[in-house]
Amino acid sequence: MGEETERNSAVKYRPFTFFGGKGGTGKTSCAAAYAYSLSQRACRTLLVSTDPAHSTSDILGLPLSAEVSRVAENFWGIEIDAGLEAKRYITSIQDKMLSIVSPVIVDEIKRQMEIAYTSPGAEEAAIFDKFVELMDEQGAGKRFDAIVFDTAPTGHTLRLLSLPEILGSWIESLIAKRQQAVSLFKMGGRFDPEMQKRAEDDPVIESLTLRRDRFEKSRRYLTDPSACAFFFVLNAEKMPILETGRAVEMLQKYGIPVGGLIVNRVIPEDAGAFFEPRLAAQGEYLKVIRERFAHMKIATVPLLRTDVQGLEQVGKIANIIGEIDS
Amino acid sequence: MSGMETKQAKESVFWQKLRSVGEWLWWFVIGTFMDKRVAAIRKEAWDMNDNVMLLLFGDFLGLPNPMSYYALEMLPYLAEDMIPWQRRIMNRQSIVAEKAAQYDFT
Repeated sequence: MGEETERNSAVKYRPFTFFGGKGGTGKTSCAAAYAYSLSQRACRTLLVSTDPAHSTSDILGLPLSAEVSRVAENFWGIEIDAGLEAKRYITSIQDKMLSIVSPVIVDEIKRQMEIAYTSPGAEEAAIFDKFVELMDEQGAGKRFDAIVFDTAPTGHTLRLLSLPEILGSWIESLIAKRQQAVSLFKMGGRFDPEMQKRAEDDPVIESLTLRRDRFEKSRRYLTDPSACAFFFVLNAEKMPILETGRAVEMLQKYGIPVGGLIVNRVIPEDAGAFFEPRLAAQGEYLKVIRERFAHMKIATVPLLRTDVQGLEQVGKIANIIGEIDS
Repeated sequence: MSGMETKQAKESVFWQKLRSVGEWLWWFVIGTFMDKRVAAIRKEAWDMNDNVMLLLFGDFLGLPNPMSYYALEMLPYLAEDMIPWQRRIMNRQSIVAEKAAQYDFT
C-alpha cells in the first residue's frame, strides 16, 4: 500500500480531466490517448465518454457499456447513456411517488412527468448527475486515481459545466421561498392542525438542500485548479480556433481551470507536394494559436498515416499527449 | 340523599352551562378578532406555496424552467397539491382583485 501511494505520488496528474472541443477535431482519440498514458504511469484511470455517438468503443476497439468495464491494466472505461440515466431517475421518482401518494394522482401526473423527461436539458442534467456521482463516489483515489471525461462538442459541454453555477442560485431562491411559505403555514396554522402538520420538517426543503449541496460540491471540484483541468482539442484551422477562443472565455467566466490546448492532426513537414499549400496555411494558424493562447500549455499531435484505432495506435500518441502534465 | 343528588346535578348543569358559554366566547373572540387575520396569513401562505410550485413546475404550464429535471425530485411530496394548484393557477382572473379581497377591500 505504502509503495503504491509512493509510486502514484511520483507521477503528476490531477483527479479530473476534461477534454472538449469542436466536433470532429479528434477529442475522443486525444482523451483515450491521455487516459492510456495515465494508466501507463501506474495510475488507475477511468475514461468516461458522454458523446451520444459513442466513438470511444470504436477507437479502443473494445465495446464499452453503461457500466464501468476494464480495458487494460489500470485502465477502465464507461460510456454514459443519457437516455438510460434519465429513465432510471424518472423510475426512481415514480416508485417513490407510489409509496407516498395514491395511484390515482400518480396516474394523472404521469403525463406531466413525461414532459419534463423529454424537455431540453434533461439529458444534460442526467449526464451531469452521473459525472458528479462518478467524481464523488469513485474518483479522487477511491476506486480511480484519475478520471478522464471525453465530453460532447463544445456548446453542450459548456452548458453542462455551467449548470451548477446557474442552478445553484435558482435553488437558493427556491429554498428561501419555501421556507417563507412554511413559516407562514406555521403562523396561519395556529387553529388548524392540518396546516400545522405541513409546517413540520418539510421534505421539500430537505431534498432541495440536498440538491444544493450536491451542486456546491461539484462546483468545488470543477473550480479547483489542483483537482480539475479542461483541455481543448483543436485543429490548426480557422473555425476551431475561433470556437476554442470563445469556449476558453466561457470557462474562465465560470471559474473552471483551462489546462491547455492540444493541436491535433498537424501535418508534418515532409508530407509531400500535395500538402504544400495546406502546410503554409497551417504555419499561419499555428502562429495565431501560439499568440492567442500564449499563457497556455500547447501540445501538438501530428497527423497520422491511418485513423487512430485500437490500443496500440492510441499508445503511439499517448506519449505526446501525456506531456501536457509536465 | 336525594337532595344531595339534585345539588350535584344542579352543580354539573351549572358547570356545563358555564363551559358552553366559555366555549362560545372563545370561538366568538377567534371568529371576530382572530380568524379573519389568521385567514389573511393562511391565504398568504397558500399564495407563497403556489409561487414555489410555479418555480418548480412552471414547465407543466409551458414556462421554460432550467431545472425542471431536478424539480421532479420534489414531485412525490407535492403531487397532492399538483392538480388543485394547476386549476387555481389557470383560473386566475385578476391578481389585484384577489389581493384586495384578502384585505377586505372588495
